[in-house]
Amino acid sequence: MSKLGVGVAAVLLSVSSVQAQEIPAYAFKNVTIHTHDGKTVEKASIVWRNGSIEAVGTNVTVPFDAKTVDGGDSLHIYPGFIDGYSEIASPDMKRDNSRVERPGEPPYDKAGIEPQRSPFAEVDFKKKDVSDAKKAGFTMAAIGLKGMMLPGKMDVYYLAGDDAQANLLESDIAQKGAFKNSRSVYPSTLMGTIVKFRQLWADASALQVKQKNYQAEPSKFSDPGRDEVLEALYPVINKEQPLFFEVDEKEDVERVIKLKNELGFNLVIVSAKQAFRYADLLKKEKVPVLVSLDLPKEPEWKAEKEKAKKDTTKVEKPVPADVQAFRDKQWAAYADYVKNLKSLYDAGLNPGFTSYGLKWKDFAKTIETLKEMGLSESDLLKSLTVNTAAVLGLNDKVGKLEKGFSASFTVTSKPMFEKKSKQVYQVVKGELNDVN
Amino acid sequence: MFKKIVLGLFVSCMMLSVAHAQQKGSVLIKNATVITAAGEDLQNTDVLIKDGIISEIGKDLKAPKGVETIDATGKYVMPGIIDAHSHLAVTRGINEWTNPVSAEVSMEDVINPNDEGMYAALAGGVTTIHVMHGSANVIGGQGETIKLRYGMNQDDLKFQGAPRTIKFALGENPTRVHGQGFGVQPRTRMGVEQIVRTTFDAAKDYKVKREAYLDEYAKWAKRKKGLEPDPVARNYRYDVINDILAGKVLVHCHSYRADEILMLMRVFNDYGVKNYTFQHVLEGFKVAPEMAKNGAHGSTFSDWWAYKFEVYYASAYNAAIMNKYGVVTSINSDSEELIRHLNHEAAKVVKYGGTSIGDAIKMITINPAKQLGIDKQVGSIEKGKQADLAIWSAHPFSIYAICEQTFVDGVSYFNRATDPDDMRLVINPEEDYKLHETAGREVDACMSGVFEFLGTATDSHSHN
Repeated sequence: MSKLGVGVAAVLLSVSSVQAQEIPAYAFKNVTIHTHDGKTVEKASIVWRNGSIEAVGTNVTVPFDAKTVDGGDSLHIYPGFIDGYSEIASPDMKRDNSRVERPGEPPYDKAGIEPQRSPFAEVDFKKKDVSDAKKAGFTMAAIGLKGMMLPGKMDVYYLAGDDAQANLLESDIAQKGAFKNSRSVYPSTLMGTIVKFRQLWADASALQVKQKNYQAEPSKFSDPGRDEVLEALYPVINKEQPLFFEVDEKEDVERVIKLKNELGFNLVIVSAKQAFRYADLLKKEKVPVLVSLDLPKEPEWKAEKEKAKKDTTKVEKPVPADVQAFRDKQWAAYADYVKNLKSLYDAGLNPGFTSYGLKWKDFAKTIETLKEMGLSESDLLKSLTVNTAAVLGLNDKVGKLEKGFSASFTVTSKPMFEKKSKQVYQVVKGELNDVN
Repeated sequence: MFKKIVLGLFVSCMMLSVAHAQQKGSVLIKNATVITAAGEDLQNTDVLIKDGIISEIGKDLKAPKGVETIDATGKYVMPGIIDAHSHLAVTRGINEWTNPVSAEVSMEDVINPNDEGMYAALAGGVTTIHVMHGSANVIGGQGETIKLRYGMNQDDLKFQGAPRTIKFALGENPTRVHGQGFGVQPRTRMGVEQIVRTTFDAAKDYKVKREAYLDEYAKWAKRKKGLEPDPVARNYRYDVINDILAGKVLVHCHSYRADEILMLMRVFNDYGVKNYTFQHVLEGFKVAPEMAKNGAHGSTFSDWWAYKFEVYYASAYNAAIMNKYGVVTSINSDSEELIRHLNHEAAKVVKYGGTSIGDAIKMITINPAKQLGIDKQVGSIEKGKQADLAIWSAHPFSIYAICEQTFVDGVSYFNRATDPDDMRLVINPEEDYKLHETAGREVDACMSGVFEFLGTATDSHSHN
């Protein structure tokens, strides 16, 4: 509560100080603009004021009052990347190994059923993964808390300062879900978790009707009481917000789609590392997808083989036929995973991005690998910007460097995905930060 | 007989329309010794399969245009083996062991179509398996009968039209997990009985309330005037229990001792539950007449016992004696290894108990089909039945017999002549080459997932 109070006070302060003077404009001129779909506009300018882009392009008059940085034709500007499903800033899960009296009837939280949890109360923007994400070019993230089958709500935050209230863009946009269960209480298996989703839906649906009845005619109906856990599921049950569901395997995707069709909710598939196996299904079911770029390790023999090729002093040992056959399949599988994002574009889908499972230190290397394996820069940028914005329902506000969109972008010394490219500035919600 | 065939055809036609996604094959197998499991073996006989159905059995049959002919001279054709007790092809847990009653969970939701164990089972002539919940709970989860259409997705593996089933478990496993493990009922065999009775009663009570609500709702829904009635939420657990009581779900009950077998039959008589199967049922031979009288089936091992206290009193004559008293008896595997040679397990019943070869064949074909309620569709080689069968190099009870080819719905899913080394369907790119060794039966089959958590020492013989 005190945190919320401070947050509110901070906002009031900033609003009053802004009103006291003319809101200043900012601009970059003589820069190369990289658009969300991979086009480049050289010798361009971008002007923003009050958090929004006012003008962008080659035919822009920079206002006289604008604080201007001259890029000298060497700076590159990219739309701020958006992480569509993130656990950055989320505290680690508390380990609770205490035994319950009846493991078959545990309290909700023990079973990982916590849809009432809000990230707002728990996020910590001082955590290192937040600065890692910013360094990678991200200016915004839909954040949820770590947990099990229903870990809570999701909010969208700017990655600006440390203050959650100031960073908040949209609260409570979705529920988070996964086939993740406790080992010690019900549900302790995948089959238990699946049927628990069904039972929760039945219980929450019934409670919702009872509460409506009681509210309308308290003399005729009995008071069903309150249940913050079941009540938190109403928006998903009523299709007012989607369930963002972490799944990778094809069979798990089939399972959650079956649940979606049975229970009737709006589903977003998250992580989807095996999406190459079910792109058609996602298309048929019209399920949006946020893809993880957590790639498998390249098989060790591959690097060894490359090394051996270079070393002319050694004679390569012949590989037995059965091992070679195994390796061929292994490499084909590796390639499938690395081309996963591309395969979704090939299937005509518009995949967004999630940092789920990704180690930030691997981000640059991962992008390099994806491009080597055939992903175009325009598709990559779309996933990191507009596609993710669309999944979050924010595509009219964020993700593009266009007039009226949020002034959130990253400025680099060279094209971003080239070696030795460095971040020079980052602008989040109009606030200019000199990274150096 | 005629009636049976007509019914079979009717059922098959219905199957065809439901299961359009599934592949159906046509093939002519010439000049084999056909073990039908429905009467005498047929010498030098042809079997014609059209679109997944056995369309003709006889001599000098001609293959329709485009249909492959297989010369099976000197070979044996037998119905695909049916395993009434398996835990193959399951993802992430067979035991929802946290509650003594878990009727709401279902193997249907967690079939793993990529389990290579299915291919190994095909190589042993198996075509259908009953995938079961484990034995940690008095009333466990629902089972799923699947055909080994290896390479299909989880939905297409399902045996269309097979009745629903559920696992019950008596004796040491549920008392150990719940009573000893957590100090909740059941602590004793008496407690096991009470769990069944109180659960049945609670489900009936729920049914009255739920149906009253549904009636009220239906009345309201016609006019939609005023507020809808306060709902009685659907209860997934009790819905399944009520379906058991209504005869819509076949019970397969893990059991060993004669006293507990009698106990459950008494309970089921009280509640009108019929057409059930005792699994393991090592002391079935002591109460075979009582089982026969109640129409209870028995699904057992040929010679496997002494892996825990309640299974010390056992006999290799068990299947033979139950069979002799008219109990529909099957031999099951409960193991990804044993399932590969169920033919030899059945042969042991002939060797020990003097059961006829014909009856022992039935113990791995038509009898488990009856126990699973699929005997109209599969389990024997008869005109109009689904073409699930295997070609063997010799009589399958010979120790030298090799399964050469296995067909499901007339489609060859295993062919020894073209059998590839690597049958993985999904490759994990981070898995490095290693020799895939499997030796003998895995321990802990039925109690998988339980002891790891409870921290109980898993003695190497504590599987079932």
